[in-house]
Amino acid sequence: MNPEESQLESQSIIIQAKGVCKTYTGRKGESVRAVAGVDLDVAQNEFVAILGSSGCGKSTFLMMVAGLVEKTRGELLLEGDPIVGPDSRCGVVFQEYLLFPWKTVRENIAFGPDLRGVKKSEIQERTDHFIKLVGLEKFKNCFPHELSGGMKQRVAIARALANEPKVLLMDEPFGALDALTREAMQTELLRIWHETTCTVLFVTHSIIEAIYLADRVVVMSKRPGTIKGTLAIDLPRPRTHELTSTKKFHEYEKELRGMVWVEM
Amino acid sequence: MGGDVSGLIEQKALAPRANLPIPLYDRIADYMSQHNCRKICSPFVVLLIWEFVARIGWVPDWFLPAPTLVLETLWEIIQSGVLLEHTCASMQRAVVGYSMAAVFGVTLGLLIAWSKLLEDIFDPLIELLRPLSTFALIPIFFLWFGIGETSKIMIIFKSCFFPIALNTIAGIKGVDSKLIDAARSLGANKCQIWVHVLIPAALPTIMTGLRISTALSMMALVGVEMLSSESGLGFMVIDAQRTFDTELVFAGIMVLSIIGFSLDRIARLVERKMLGWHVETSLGGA
Repeated sequence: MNPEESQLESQSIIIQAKGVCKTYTGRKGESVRAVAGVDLDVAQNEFVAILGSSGCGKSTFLMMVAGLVEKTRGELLLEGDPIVGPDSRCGVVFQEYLLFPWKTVRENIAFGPDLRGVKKSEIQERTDHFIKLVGLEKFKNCFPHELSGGMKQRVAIARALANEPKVLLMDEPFGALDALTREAMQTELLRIWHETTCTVLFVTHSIIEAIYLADRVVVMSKRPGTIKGTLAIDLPRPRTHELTSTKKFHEYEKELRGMVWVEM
Repeated sequence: MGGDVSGLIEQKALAPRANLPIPLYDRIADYMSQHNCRKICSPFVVLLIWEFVARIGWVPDWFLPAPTLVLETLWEIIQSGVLLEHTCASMQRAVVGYSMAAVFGVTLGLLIAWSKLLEDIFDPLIELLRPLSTFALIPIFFLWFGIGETSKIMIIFKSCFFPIALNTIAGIKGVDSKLIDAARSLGANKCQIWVHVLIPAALPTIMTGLRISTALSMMALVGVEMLSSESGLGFMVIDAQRTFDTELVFAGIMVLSIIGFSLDRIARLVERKMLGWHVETSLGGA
């Protein structure tokens, strides 16, 4: 056993996927294989990025972990329990933000704890904490349409975290943002992650984003999606954007690009 | 970098919330800006031409009475209480018919959107009855409910019911399924999804149905009152026509137009109050 594996073994595994498949029935009744046998173990407090081109089934896999899409075959465990539906231990952040437009920033963030019947005083406290964490104190009474894209995604992150999940599932969360806001949000996400210590499963199609954020990058093949390879990213934390111009970063980039392009 | 950006956005986001007192003069000047001025002038110009044409005697009074004569008649019926009596009779029918349509329309719409079974039962019925002209049903309604108040209320009910029910169904079915996923991932059960996501998200579409129906209720009201009635504004207008009291015909039409306009304005106001978030995003053009 090499040292890396033993290190993984010593930490507890939080998400376990064994031969997970998803087959859709298409419009004309034909079956479409979106995900074909994904095996993946994610350790507690690990930041894992799933990298793949669009339509490779990486989002479908994430939605299965979230319990929003039913798997066709295979085994999917969260802390050893089979995933059968949405779970309070998983928070989801979507690319399209999906904030409730009739709720203010505050009400959006309070929505999760409110649904779960958390005490009013505790909701108040938690909401204030997460509004502060994502830096939106001045906008807490604004409606989503009054916010910019980056701010909307901050609200979505706070909304997911307000349920105090153990795993944060992020489905191309910065895909709809402009390049500069995207960079700022990546740094923001790392800061938030350091302060909350949860496990993150992050789907992206950007190689640089994957290396910059993750402890480990998992490359997915074209549809039907399987795991092509894994790359551990050994870069110091806390990370800053200067890292992206270091030699080590470029080496990782080259390696991942190789893995992705062989695939194409 | 982040500070600069959020600073700019902050101003933009907070600007409309500032409720500064604006001097009266500025407000009037603002309201009477070129654009609004033209809008206010256009009806007056039409009235002026109309008055001129009627006064120089090109057309007889029974054909087109001058606006001033119409206003005089209007004043007379206001003073004698005739107008109030007819307006009350009309509005009573409209309000009862419309409210019933609103309650039953929204309820049935929600039930159909909720249950596939109910949809399969009611959808064909709705599709067959909806395109049928309300007036085609008048003879049957007279047979069933007599020529009293019930048949009139039922006709108003029929004309308002379908737009309300169909908009409710369309509103619920049009909700983005990803938004429901977001709520589910936060822990919402089926019931909570209805209360917290589906109904609020469908509300703009439901409100549109309710607003359209206010105009339809007035249309059905006048029609049915002209056919068989001893009271109401529709009766007043048709009765005046039978006795060649053209001034009264025009006065009645004027009142109907004012009522229709006011109902639409009230409905818009309610919409704006209830759906501030929606009006500002989609109707405000932002």
